[in-house]
Amino acid sequence: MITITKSGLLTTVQDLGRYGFQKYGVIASGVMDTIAHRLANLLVGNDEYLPTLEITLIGPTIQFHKNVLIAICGGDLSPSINGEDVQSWRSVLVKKGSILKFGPCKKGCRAYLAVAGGFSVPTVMNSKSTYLRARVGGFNGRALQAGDQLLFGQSGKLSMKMQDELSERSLTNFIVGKWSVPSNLIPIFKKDTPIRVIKGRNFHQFTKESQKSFFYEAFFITPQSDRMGYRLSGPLLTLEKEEEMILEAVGFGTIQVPTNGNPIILLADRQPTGVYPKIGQVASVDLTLIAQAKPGEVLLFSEISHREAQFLYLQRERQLQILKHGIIEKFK
Amino acid sequence: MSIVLHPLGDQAITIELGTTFSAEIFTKVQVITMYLDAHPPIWMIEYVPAFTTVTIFYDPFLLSNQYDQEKLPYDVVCGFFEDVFSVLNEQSRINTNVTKNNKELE
Repeated sequence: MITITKSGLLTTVQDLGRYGFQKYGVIASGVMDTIAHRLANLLVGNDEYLPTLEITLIGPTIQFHKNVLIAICGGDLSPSINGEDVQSWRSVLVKKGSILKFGPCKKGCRAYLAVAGGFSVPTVMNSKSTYLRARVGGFNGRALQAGDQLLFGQSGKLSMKMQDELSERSLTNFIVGKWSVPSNLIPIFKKDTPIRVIKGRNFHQFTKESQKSFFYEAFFITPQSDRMGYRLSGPLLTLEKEEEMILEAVGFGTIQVPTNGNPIILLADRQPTGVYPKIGQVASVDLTLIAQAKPGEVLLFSEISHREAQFLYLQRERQLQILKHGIIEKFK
Repeated sequence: MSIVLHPLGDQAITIELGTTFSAEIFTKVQVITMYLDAHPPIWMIEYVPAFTTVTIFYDPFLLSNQYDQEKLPYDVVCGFFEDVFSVLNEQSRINTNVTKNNKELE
């Protein structure tokens, strides 16, 4: 069990999303940074879909009430255990009574905390994700607050083997695993790294000038940005001729342009459908960069072909599979 | 009357059954969603119907592993729906020609 002794800015329980109900208008939710979430789970021997804590910008203070294997992945929010810095992207065995704190946000903006067995919260419509606006799922449908206590799920065999191996080393404050995630799977959060975007189905309906601005100019992430979407400001994007659009499905990373000309990137808490023209779609492999970008930062878009985006996605999934099998082999 | 297939990023496909809303087109939307309810492909995560379109979200990695590794997931999905439309066509439930919109793929 853990106790939240100080709430951060926004910490929620999330998994890979509430899929299968978007046709009824139910928002998918789920983690913003899928890769960080999945890797954190793999590092503690969990299945990838188990819920983690999504910690945003200012982290909470968390007390552990038993020895447990944890991993922190994603943005660097300066985590420390009992005052000592702790590495991200590694398995860490935490001693009972320890206190995990977060400090300044150095890189990215969302960190994911996985514990062996996952966090135990009720399943609502096949998912444990929190959808804040509707107060559905997660921990009482809301962000974590001081005093909240969360239980862990049952640890699997793999988690127990990992924990045993670390327990053999003397238990100081905490013990960090010797192995890490391969560096090719750790996203590099660098400012000015262009986000790769596939042209949307309405791209050609925008003026030539707008088409050009979209790929060659910078867009600011405005403060009106959250888990639902990032509202951008930059050159105004306009259609060649006003056209009435018909409501249709949108996805994670769809970039739509409302009539005011300022694009919105739709994210985890997006509505299932939208009525605005779609200028582009963020390549799935770059969604992790979007999830870690924060208001005030600048985004640049570069074009990627639909073909290349699919190829890169499959390549990364294969790397993840190799890692998964590698972990299973290592702790056989 | 023709069906146009559009990619929605690298993990979804939008089937466009018409460009204006009509009862006839919405019936086609329902024919497709009923087909998907009855025969859900394992790689389908979910579908989202709208007035003139049905969008299918899929698992590209599963598609690539289960089917032709040489083909990209989107092409496999397009092939699947072309077959579905020809089945529905034979049953006179949908009467259409399929075109793939490659404009955005250039």
